[in-house]
Amino acid sequence: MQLTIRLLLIGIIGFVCFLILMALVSATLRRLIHGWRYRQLDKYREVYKAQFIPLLQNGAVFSKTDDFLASPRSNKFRAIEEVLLDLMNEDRYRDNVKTLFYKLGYVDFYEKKLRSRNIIVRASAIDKLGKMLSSPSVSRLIEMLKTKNTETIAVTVRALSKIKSMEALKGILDHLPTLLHESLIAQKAMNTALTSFGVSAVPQLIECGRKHSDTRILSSVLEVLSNTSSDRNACLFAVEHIRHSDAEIRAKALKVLGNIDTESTTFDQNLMLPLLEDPVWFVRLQALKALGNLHYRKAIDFMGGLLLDQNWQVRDAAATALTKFGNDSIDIFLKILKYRDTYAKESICEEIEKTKFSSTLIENLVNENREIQAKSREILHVMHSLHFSTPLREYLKQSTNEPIVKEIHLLINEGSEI
Amino acid sequence: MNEIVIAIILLFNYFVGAYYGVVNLVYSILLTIALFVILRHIKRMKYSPIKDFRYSPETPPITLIIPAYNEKNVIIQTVESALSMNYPFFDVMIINDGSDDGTLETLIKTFKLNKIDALYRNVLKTAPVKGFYYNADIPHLMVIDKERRGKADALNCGINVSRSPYFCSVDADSVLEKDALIRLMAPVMESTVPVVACGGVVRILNGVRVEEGVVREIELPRSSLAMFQIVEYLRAFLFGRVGWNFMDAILILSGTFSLFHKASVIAVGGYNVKHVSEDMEMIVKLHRFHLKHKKPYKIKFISDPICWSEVPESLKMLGRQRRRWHLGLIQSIVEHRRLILNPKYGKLGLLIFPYYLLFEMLGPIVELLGYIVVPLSYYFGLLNTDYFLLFLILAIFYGVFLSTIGVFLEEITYRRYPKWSHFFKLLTYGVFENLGYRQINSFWRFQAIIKYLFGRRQWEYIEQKGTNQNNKR
Repeated sequence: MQLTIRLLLIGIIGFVCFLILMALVSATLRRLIHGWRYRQLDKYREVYKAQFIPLLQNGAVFSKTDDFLASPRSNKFRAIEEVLLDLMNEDRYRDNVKTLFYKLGYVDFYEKKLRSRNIIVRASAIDKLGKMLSSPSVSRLIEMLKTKNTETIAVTVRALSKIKSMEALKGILDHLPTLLHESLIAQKAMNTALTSFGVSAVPQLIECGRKHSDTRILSSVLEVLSNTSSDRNACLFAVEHIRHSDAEIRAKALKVLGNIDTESTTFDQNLMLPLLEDPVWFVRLQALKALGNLHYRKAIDFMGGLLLDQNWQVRDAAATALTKFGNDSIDIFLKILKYRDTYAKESICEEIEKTKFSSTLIENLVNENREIQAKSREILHVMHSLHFSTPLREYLKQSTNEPIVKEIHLLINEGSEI
Repeated sequence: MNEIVIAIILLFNYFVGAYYGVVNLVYSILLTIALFVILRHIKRMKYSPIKDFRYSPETPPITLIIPAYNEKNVIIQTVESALSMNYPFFDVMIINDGSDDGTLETLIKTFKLNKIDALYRNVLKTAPVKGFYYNADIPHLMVIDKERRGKADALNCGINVSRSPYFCSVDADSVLEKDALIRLMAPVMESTVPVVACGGVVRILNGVRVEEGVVREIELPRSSLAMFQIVEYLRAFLFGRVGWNFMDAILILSGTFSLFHKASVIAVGGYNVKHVSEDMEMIVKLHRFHLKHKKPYKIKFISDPICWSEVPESLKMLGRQRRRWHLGLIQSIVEHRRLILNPKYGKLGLLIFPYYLLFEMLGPIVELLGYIVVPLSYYFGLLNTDYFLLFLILAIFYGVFLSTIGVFLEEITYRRYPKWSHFFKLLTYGVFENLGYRQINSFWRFQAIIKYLFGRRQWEYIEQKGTNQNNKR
């Protein structure tokens, strides 16, 4: 028994030594092989880059494709691929490089890999086809969306979004309900991909949004529209959804409306006013941002009420939005600054300072309009009394406008007497 | 009497044999998993979505919160590194936690900051804030000066001021790689289950050449103590955490460089100021909260975002650091003891907590008892010299094996130490790490247990020399 245990221990020690040795040898060999391989790749990359650029410039590249054919496992194959992918970043070469990938057999090679059972091999191939902007592969890539593998789907959606064809977009949108419903892709990843299709995707996105009532789809569509479009169709679509039962959809619809270019597209902005009283705080917040962005002056009084909202994010957003209306918002600020709620007053002062509205107020100290001058002075006075005096002190340091400097000195001295 | 002592010694010897066997079995399992996972991860990086996320309006804004207490020597390099991130929307917040070495003045002078009026919302209660400093030309940098109350309190202060949905805690003696933040955010963007925390790899800054907050040249440090720590960190990050992450069982993410979902952190009450190891405590609280409320969540560790951080080069400072880490571990395990073997908490209660209790927390006690029992066994004639030597050789060789595999994993994956001399030096230190360094670590951990038992549970300050302070800016 003792001998067996002893032999067992010696055996384990021997095995551990063997593993250490194996790790050492394989790391050393790997280092040597990689060193050699990368040196060769660097050399090839340099050589082929120098050859491709003049050929692409003089249009003779397609007559010399035979010179660049290589076995898929070779370093030459990989180096050419890297050089061409690099050249693809330049607009002037893009179309020719796309064709080259096809003629040199890269597209064919990676399309075959799509059949692999190994997820990593398959995903790498999908990614490469996307990077090569291989439009003929779109239908095959769309097939990949039918797999239930999240990794494959995420890479496929990204690849299709790089190719950017309408067929690719349609493929994604057709599968969107299943992908989102079965949580096969994260919403943020999907939105990133859809956003990269740009403005040309808007009609199809809206059509998709109208076809499905699933909140996840609507949320994605509205989010993408808020990042890509400010046109009439997006506006109409958003207006249709500002009364949706789901708060997230209402907020996202407002986000779209906040980005609408009102010079070219008109819509009834009064529709947004009831959302300033929405029970959900982030809808109120989004309504404030939208109305502030659109400079909808009729909303000033409604927005002023939110300076006393129970949620601090809403209060801050209200102050920020109101500062965008310039002197038109002075009355509402003054009204709230006369309230007893110190916390609300401090929030307003902070936002006035942060948004640089304080600069407007300081300039107003010599405004010809006596009323604006007096009201601006009063706001600055309250700010000073609440220790938000930095803009005044900074102005004194930097400016030589005597009348304003004099006014500020007076204001500060009054403040110190309080 | 002698018979009882002999029986106890024999029993202990069997216990140690079994204990050692189980610990090494766990390590072997983690190692095997890590080997497969990390190689797959490297292949996956070829089609990683990082580039797309870098320009996506969908990428969530993030605040880098850097607590600083007496970090005058290193803070500028850290801030420069943080400001140079490749990330679409981020801001950097330095919380000066009552430094008295001129940290605040250095920041004000270097970045031409002005005191501004800002409102402090004390959502997570903290020590009073004394001032906000800002420069309109560097709009995404803010320095907050507050009264001293420790790192956890400083982080809570940063959370209160931050306006982003996510924040990343970064130590004041660290340099981030340019893509570190976007890589750390990738799991959040890609996961269909909410990721509430995500940690990256911490590497050792000592010896590395940094220019304008960017790592320019990687060299190994001259200090042997720092070298041992490199091997130790490689092992801990490249196979320990990768293995636990695969099992969705991460209990520790380094506070040096981890990302958190702000609302989740606020929901669990922020960082616990009474804990000396606030990072582990936060992860435990996040696990516990989500499991208790049956909310879907993930806590992830990924091995490609890299943060370079300075480590102590003196035994005194290293001892302080290790005692603090172990004290923090004990505090968390004791405070959340209800989780142990509680099926309601799934893997956390049935696997992770028992493992940390038995093998991480109590490990130093078993080791120290071993040092006592060996001479006793010899005295009572119970020690079979052959067996003892074989076990000793096996223990040392297995330790060397683990260190070698750490270096091996680094070699086949990220290869941040490119020279042949680096490779051989790391391997050499991997061997010698098992002859003294490991034992002294166990001693510090044992000291932490004693300190805990005697109620001395305060934070031990580690002075940062700023080994890279002569680097160009």
